[in-house]
Amino acid sequence: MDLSLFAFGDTGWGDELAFGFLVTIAMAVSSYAIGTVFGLALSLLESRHGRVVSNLASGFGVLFRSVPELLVLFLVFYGATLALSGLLGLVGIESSIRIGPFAAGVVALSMVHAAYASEVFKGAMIAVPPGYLEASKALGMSPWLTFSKIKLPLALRYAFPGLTNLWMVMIKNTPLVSAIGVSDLIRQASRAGENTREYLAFFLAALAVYLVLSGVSLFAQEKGQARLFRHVSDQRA
Amino acid sequence: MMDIETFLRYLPNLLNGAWETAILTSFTLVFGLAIAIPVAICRLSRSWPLNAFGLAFVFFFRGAPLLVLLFLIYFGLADVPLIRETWAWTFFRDAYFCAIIALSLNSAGYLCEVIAGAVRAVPRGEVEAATVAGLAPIDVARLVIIPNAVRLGLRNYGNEIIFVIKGTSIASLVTIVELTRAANNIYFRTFDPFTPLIAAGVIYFVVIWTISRGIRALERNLTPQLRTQN
Amino acid sequence: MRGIILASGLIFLPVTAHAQNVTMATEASFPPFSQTEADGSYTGLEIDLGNAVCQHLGWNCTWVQQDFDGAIAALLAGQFDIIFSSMSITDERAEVADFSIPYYSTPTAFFGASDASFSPPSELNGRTIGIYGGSTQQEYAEENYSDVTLRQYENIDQMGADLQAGRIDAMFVEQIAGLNWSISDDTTGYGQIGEIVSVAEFGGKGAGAMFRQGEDNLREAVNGALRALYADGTFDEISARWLPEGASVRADDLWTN
Repeated sequence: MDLSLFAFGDTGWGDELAFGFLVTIAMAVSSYAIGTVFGLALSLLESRHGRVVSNLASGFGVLFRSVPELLVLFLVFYGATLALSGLLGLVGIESSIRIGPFAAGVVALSMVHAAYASEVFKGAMIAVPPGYLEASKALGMSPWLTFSKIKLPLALRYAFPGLTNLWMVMIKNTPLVSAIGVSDLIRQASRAGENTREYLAFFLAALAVYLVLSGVSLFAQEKGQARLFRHVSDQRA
Repeated sequence: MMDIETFLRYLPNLLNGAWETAILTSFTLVFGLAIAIPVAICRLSRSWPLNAFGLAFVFFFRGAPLLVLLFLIYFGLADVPLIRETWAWTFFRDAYFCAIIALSLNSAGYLCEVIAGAVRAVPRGEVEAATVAGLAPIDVARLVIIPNAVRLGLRNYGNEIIFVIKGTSIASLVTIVELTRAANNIYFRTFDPFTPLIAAGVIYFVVIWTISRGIRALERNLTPQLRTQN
Repeated sequence: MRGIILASGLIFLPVTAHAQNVTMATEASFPPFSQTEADGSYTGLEIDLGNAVCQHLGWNCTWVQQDFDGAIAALLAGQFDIIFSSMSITDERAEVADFSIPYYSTPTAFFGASDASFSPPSELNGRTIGIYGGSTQQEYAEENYSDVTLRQYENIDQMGADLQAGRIDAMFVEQIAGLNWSISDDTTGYGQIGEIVSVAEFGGKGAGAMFRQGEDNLREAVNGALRALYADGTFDEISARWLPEGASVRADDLWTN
């Protein structure tokens, strides 16, 4: 393998790949953050509100868990700008807002992530021992106080393993955004491979990056879990 | 949003694509299982080299994004003389073969944990009872461990089938015209993104929903004690 | 509330058609027309020509990369203002978007192993041919060549890699791009094979810049610039930079007025 392929600067592809890596991380982090908040909202809507809202929320989840991520990406990328200008057109606004590839990628990946995250949150809420909730009720805490101080903090702990698994799923989904033209790590590696005809070298390098990312995430998951559950685990029984 | 005329005109293209998706899925399920079972045995084994191999396999194929795996196999291996200039090339030159191998390895990374987990979950007492009752190890496996494990792992296996179906869409990126690609092609021709992509989404949804329902029914069927619950 | 809507309207005004900021799409992997360099920049005949058009008009142009197959769809979806990416002019495409006058034209040809045992297009039966997804070549091949398997690609490098790997028997692409691919050191033993499909046979309208319908200001401006660049020799100067000596892709014989 010729290492000068990976040089930084105008001759090698090192800086392009590094840029692609940053795009991948930015894509994963922003989709994850938005999707997690959205997923929590979905799980709350599903469990607390009227039947229509609850059914809509669970329908969203079922739908986005059953359609390939790639298809969702294409639909958002090709359709969102049209749909948005159509919607704004209905209320009489002429818009020329573009939803570019990066934004489309974030929207699509975060919706898919939200669909899975809402399941994790639902499970975590159920896992909160009812005794705690009864106790706080008996102490005269308001429903909101019980939720925000007792149920949610505990549920977040129980959600931690599931959420970190979803982080690893997110990392592995980000290469799909290269199909709509986002210059992520994989797109940059393909471009480098096409130019130099050294596909093997660049895809192996990309693979190594993903394996390291996933190894680091696994390590962080174990550490985090041990820390988060240091007071909880024994009380659960 | 949906244009009925476009939909009807291009429905055959979508169905062709769906058929390709079904083929990719079926092969992947067979090969995935064939790879996963030996790896699961490694994971369950008490010999540390086997166990370490199993662990490395899981880490590698769970950590590698499916798309990267596919590109590596499809584009990358074409550069390797050992593959390019030998009999292996008769297989690897075929895009379907590459896609099925990538999908199967990826699926096996998850599946072997499903299998190992299900076997571990078989109640120890039942295995001990069967052994004490004088059953040969092969019969313990055949009559006690496997039926129990199938029951316990069924739900997770069902989820894996769904992930495989969704995963096949990436084969569209190496010249295979499966359902996602078929929908995209219609879009590139008609410039209407909504009709073909939503129609393809509905097909995926119906198939996956039916399968998950079917798995749940099968699970109830195999697990009589669950029926009394709810 | 109305204030907010008005304000947000203002924020997005700069990207409307009348502004000086124009976004142009290039495939950036179809040399010599467009390619991506190791430093990430785009170069090629179309990039130079596009930049010359922008300079002539005093526009502030930005290039974005867009794969060929989804380019028209993305234009219609508003992802950019102009496609400047080897887009052949056809009646079907002209129904959904507007074209400039053609700025280049080249016949289509087959490329394969120089010692190939078949001569396209007459001996194509049972062969596998690579084409660009959504291209006029795809349409032409679907209509004219029966018993041929078509494989769609997003760029010529992937297609070429698969040709060399034996996954396809030939590629069916614009002649200049195919020649450019086949003169590299990595592609010895590969070249143009069989017979050319002439521009006239192909519909004969050349390649033009593409605009959303109704954006006549943009289109008229680009047409004017193209005529000027043809007239003052800039076009020839740019093509000399990118084409093999003696080759020409001038399209002014296709201009109807």
